[in-house]
Amino acid sequence: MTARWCAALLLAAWPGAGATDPHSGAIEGTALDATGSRPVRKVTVELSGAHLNLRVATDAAGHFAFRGLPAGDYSLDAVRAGYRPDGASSAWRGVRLDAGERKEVEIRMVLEGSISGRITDDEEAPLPGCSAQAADTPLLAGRRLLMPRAASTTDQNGEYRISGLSQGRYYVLVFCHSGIPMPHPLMAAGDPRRQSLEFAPTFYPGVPGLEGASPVNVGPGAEVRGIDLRMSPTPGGLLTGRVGAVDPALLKRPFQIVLRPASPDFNGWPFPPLFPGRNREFHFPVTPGSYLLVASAWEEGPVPVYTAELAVDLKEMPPDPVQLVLVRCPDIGGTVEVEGANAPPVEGLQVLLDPLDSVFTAKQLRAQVNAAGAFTLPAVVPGRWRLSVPGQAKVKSVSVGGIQASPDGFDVPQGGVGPLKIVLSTR
Amino acid sequence: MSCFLLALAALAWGQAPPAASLTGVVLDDATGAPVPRTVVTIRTSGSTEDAVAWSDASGAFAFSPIPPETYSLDARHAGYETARFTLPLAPGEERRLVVRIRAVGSISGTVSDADGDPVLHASVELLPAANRSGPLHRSVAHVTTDDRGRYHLQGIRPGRYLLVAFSHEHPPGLSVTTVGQPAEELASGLQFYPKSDRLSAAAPITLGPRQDLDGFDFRLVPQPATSVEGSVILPPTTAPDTPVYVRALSEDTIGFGGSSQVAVNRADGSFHLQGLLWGRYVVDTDLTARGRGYHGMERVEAGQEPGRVTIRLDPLAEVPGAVRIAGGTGGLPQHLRIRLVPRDPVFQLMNLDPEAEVGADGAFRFESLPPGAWAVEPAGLPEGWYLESARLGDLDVLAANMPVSPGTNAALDIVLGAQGAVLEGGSKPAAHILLAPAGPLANLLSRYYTTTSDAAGLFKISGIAPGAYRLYAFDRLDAEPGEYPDLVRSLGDSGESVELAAGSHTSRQVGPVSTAPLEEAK
Repeated sequence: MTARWCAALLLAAWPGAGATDPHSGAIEGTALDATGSRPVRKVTVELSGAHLNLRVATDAAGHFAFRGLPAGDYSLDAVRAGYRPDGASSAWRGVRLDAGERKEVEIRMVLEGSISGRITDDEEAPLPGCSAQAADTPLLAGRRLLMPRAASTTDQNGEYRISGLSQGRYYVLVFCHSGIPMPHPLMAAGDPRRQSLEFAPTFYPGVPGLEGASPVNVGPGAEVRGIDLRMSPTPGGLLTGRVGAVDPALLKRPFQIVLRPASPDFNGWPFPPLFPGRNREFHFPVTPGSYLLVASAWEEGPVPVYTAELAVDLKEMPPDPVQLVLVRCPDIGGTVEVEGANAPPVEGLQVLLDPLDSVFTAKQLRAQVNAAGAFTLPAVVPGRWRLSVPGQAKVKSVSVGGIQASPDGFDVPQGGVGPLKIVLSTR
Repeated sequence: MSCFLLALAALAWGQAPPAASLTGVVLDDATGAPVPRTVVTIRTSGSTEDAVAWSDASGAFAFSPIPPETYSLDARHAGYETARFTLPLAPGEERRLVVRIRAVGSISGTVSDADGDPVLHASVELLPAANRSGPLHRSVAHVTTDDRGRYHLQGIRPGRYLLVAFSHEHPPGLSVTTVGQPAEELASGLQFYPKSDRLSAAAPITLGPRQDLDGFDFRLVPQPATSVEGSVILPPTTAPDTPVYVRALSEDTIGFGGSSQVAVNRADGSFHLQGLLWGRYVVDTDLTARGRGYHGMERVEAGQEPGRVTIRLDPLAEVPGAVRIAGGTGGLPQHLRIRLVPRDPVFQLMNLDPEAEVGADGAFRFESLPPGAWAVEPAGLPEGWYLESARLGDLDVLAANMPVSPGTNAALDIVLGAQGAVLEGGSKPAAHILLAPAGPLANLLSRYYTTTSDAAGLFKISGIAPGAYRLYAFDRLDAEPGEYPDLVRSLGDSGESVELAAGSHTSRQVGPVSTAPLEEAK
């Protein structure tokens, strides 16, 4: 480990010539590309520490130098648009300088890559205004989750270019949110007789979900071209509905509705939400398929406290109107105990819940543990959550309603769950 | 009015008013060719209902029958500018429209630095070459360069444009720095096309319909920065804890490439604005002391030597006013506002657009107007209403600008008209019809009216402010609204002279004029 650190750091120290001068220290270095063979010029290197903030740019040989530095702890940052510092070797970011010392660092700058292509309809006509997104599939709490990393909107020629990508494997997914309305006589905006041509979300090379999708490999600085997609228009209709609530007072609160394909591939994807007006009616242009409708209402603060979820399987167009009923998200109570010698007091510990799906609507929840070791997490939105308790003691086990569960991912259904029992250990 | 009575009569008899019909054809404005698969949408005035039709292979579309109402229509097709207009339909009317849509184009290029390396995230702004809304060129499109330093401005309507590129992200000028030594400061790189650092040397680019221009490249070289220093002489009534800011706006780049703002040292009134490009600046400041507004402004040049300036603050003018209706009867429209548009480019740079709410009694008040020349414009006027006259004391400020100085002590008297005239007529089919004010109001853009004749060559314009006009028909009309006064001047005495009285209904035939391109006209 130490050897690798040193190799990555390439840190060399020379005794300063004027070791008695407190301001004769220096941090010098070189910015190199990912292979370490070529210098990278015009990298802005920022130094801060010892009440100093200095900036220089690397020259044609990749060199830079900060001189006349007093002893101290310095942090460095390196910026050049189109590049990112290599995450694997970041020891250069912190440098401790003794009086009169001169240190040399090496910064690796990796050129970012891009994916480009053209989006057309079934007649090869360009589709402008579609969103092409590059996503990877990190493993989050035992589940692969599709995470959007960068996006681009197609131009008049249907062309897109997703840039700023670090090296990796990406799935390319295209959304064309605006369909083409079919001719119709005068009618109201939410009239279910409306029809349109819609383009369902499509993964490269032309499939509706992750299954069958081909990932695109992007190397350092690679320009991957020709990732073209043909989108098939599908006759669509209007899914209309209304939001209700057990308690009518709820309906005065602001709320939003999100429609997304039911496939778990689309977990967490930000579809444009609707904010229904006073009549609480909503309508989405849809194509046949399985969807999830999720309504959320807020009380105060950024966390929704009332939700409604409805799975709809649409076959016939236009689909039958639907009704969503808002209910209060369940509060979840529980206890914390600490095992082991010198167990610290539980009072004041924080129990954190992080959303694993619907990451774009739900937010982190936190609860304070009292002297008796009890806590209550208010209004937990149904979904999958990860539990953590920051502090010296680590989470040893968690049970939910008496059943053993993983703190890295457990499900909260709409009706809520039994008490959480958290055991921490200092060992 | 007769339509209204007719509708009323129909209601009285318990019958719906006779339906109207709307048919039309969509044509490419430049070629006259039909445009199939255009999505034409009409919306009722409250936007509660809409209807959609697609144009067929011959460009034709039809909505019929539809209730007589005022509709807004838009025609959309990829690669064309969306055409929009308002369409009042009378009971039983059979309207045959010609919708001319304009194919758009694009402009592309690369932004690089002194070494030819691409400049990423640089801003590129597109400005109209002709003055549209006043003396200033406001940006009509904006893009940033991609990871190759490429930019692509698209969906741009044909016309003449200026281009400017700038970047705030530039690396520091030095690769070695020593603590205690002064660092060389660089200002943003900025360039007007081609290769100029000031607007006055920018060359216009002509973009035709469906044209994709490429190779409009820029080279941005960060320049050594300069500064402006000076002091502000504050009114003695200024509270000691009032923060005062001074800002500098570049006159050479009309504010592009960044402006600079800094707080004034309240101990001695001094300020120091840094990081500026070399050139001419307007430096200004404003504040409120004991409820009274003050403004001060000076021009200064900064380069090798920093600019030095002393700014004196003058009290702002207060201008009260009242709105009346011509003929003196009826209530004022709701949500009416009076807007003053600055004629001084510097105030346009500062986005100064003072607006006053008009009360139910017609009264309004501008509490703090900087000295300068202003154009008076009502906002929120209902369809068919118009500005009949505007006077500041004894001064006519409709045909001329309104001068305001710290000592201005007069009220603004505004008269609105609601009895617009109607002009109907015939020309050749699908002609552009332009009704232009004659005489002293020839520069008043709000008195210009345009429409397109239908497939039978018929046209109708309503809600016209009474007065003397000239009527023209064109096969092609490439001028932008801001260019109409120049266009009409270039046509001399051609066109039909028309005198329109309030509430009148006039019919006229007009023969088409072939437009001289505006460049030649100038």
